[in-house]
Amino acid sequence: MCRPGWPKNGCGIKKMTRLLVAFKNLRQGIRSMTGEDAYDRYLTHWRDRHVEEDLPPLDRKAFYKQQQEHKWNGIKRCC
Amino acid sequence: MDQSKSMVKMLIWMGVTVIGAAALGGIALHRGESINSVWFVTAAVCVYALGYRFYSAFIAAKVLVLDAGRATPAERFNDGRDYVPTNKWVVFGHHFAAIAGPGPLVGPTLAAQFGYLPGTLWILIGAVFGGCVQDFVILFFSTRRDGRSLGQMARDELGPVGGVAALIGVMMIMIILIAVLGLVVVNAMKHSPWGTSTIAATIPIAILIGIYMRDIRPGRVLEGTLIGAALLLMAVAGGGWLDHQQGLREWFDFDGPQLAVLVIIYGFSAAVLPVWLLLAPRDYLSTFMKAGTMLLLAAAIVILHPEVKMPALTQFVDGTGPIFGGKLFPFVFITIACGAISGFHSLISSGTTPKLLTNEIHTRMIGYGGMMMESFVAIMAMIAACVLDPGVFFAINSPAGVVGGAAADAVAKISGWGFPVTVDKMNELARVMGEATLFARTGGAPSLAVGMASIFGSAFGAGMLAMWYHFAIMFEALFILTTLDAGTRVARFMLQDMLGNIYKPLGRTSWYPGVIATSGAVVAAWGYFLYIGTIDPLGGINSLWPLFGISNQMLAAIALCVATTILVKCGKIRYAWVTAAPLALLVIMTSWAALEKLFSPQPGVGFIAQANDLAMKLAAGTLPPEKIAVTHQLIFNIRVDALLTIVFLATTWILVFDTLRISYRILKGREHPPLSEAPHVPTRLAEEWMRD
Repeated sequence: MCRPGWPKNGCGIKKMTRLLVAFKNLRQGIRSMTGEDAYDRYLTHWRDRHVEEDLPPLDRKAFYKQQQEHKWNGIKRCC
Repeated sequence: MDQSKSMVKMLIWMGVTVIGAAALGGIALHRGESINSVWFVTAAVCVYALGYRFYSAFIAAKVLVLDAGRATPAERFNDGRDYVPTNKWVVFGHHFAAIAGPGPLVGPTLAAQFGYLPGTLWILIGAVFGGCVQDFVILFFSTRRDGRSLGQMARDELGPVGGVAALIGVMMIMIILIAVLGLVVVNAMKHSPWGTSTIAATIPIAILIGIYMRDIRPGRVLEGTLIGAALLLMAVAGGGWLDHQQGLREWFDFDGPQLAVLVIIYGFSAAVLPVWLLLAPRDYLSTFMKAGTMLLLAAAIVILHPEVKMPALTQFVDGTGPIFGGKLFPFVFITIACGAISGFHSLISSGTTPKLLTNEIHTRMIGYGGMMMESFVAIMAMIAACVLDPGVFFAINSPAGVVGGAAADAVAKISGWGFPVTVDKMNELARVMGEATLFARTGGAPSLAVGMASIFGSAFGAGMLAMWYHFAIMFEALFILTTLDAGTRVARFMLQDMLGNIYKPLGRTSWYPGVIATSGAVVAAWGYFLYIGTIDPLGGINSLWPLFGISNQMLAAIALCVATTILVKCGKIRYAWVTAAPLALLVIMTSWAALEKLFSPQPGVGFIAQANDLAMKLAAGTLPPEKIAVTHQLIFNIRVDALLTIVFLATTWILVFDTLRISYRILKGREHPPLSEAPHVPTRLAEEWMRD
């Protein structure tokens, strides 16, 4: 949004960043809704909580497989 | 300033109330040739808006007293896996994807035999005062109890009897649910090479995407899903091509019992295959398709606002309906389960969702709001079924055993009911939809697909009606098969869990013989009902759908019993009516329906009467010899159905009495299971963070 009183050239930049932020938010929203970012979230969690343990983090493939097995262990879909 | 703002708000809500009341009144009192669907959408949106703004706010503030400062299980146990604080819109998406299945599409389509009015009213009222409340309170109570499941909560709050009842309820509902959904798919594929080949193609496509997501581009689910969706659309077109190839189409031309066997083989294979190969990719595809198609349907209905041609009420409110027997009261309440109140949702609300919440105030939007969305899907299904000419609707949905196997007989009978239809019209409709025939396709899927195809066709090009029809069939079959896979797995885990107490190795999910045996047992259980459903002259849906409705409502009763007990324990007896009132209605209607199913003297309704009727025919020797063996089978099956109904009825009432017993003890100050709420821990998640 462009407010009166803002420097003229700053206004354009603001608009651009706003658009960029909106686009990034949308992309992130879609990624987390679909589970596309599950591995990234796992890595963040691993760095936060498990980095001191001896085991390295799972790779993408192993994580995906384990996550799917785990996910379908309970009631996930309804009538 | 503030005052004028609140004045404006008040005026807006008064406006919503007036418009909603006008739309509802219009629907209820209209008695003409046809009524525009815009009234349905308006009434629904206004009712939901009012329900959400006022009733759910009342429940949130006064009854449950949501506390934004309290840490959720996701925050306290954050393990990056089950318990993960997640953005509320993402949780909403996951929750909705989990609760929205084929139920709200099939139920309203079947209930349209009473006319559009009873179903529409029950969907709206049932959702606002029943289903949304159930999902909301169960989600909240589970969140307050570290995300515990309904079964665990029943055990904690009511005692062992409640726990066992919940377990039996869940097992049985799974079996019946899978059987009836399987039957819906079978009836959609019967003698339809196009439909069958398209649905068959979804299996290799899902496997291909499964391999893609695991090996080629691990974890890239969005990419994989988009590729899969494109392949699915090609499969729909490919099915159309195949349908015209003599010599090839015969390979996909099956009758009901053959298809039932194929679905059973498929179900068993899917249950023992690794999830990443078939179930997980199929679920990604079906969720994507479901979301896309629902949005498309909503847009098409809003833009086109087609005319609803079904009368408000039909003569079948008296219980003589061809699709399923039984009077309006109580059968509309068990026919439309999902979409108004679905007990199954309480398993999701006490499963994954509570473990993802960042703040417990989100339970209102996710629990109450999520069910509102599902209810709207049911309204759309009702509209799609009712835009068909009533004659066409009944011709598609009436089983051959009721209206006669020959087209001329069926048409004469249906026209005799006052719903004119001709053989030519049905043949022409079948031709443009790319099917050999549309007669006797009981189950809801084909009539919904015809309705959706005609809506989509007029919105996005009428030349492609056959494509739209088979797209709709594929879309329904896709997520019905997901529910079938997922349900079989869950039932298998539960069975393994139970049997593990008797013989240890059976409980181990990695012991292959155990997996095979328990999967086989579960598949055999639903496969039995499915197979019998395909040879039943009354269409199978006639006996299976009410059983499903009864079991689903029974599960809702269990959930509401647990919720009511908790409210009484918290000292909120003043507000216990919030869950006790829908509970009372549900128990009365479900028990009434169950008793009708057992003891009604009408053979199309009462199981006992039906068994006696068949036995008499056998004894009189009036049946042709090839039908004698089938009739013996049918009589046995009807008795099994009756027994199941008795079990459902007994479980419900045991739980109701247990709730009353515990409530009485609480009020008298006697000993009772204590409240199992987790202690209050203040949240440390900053407001900033919560917005992501």
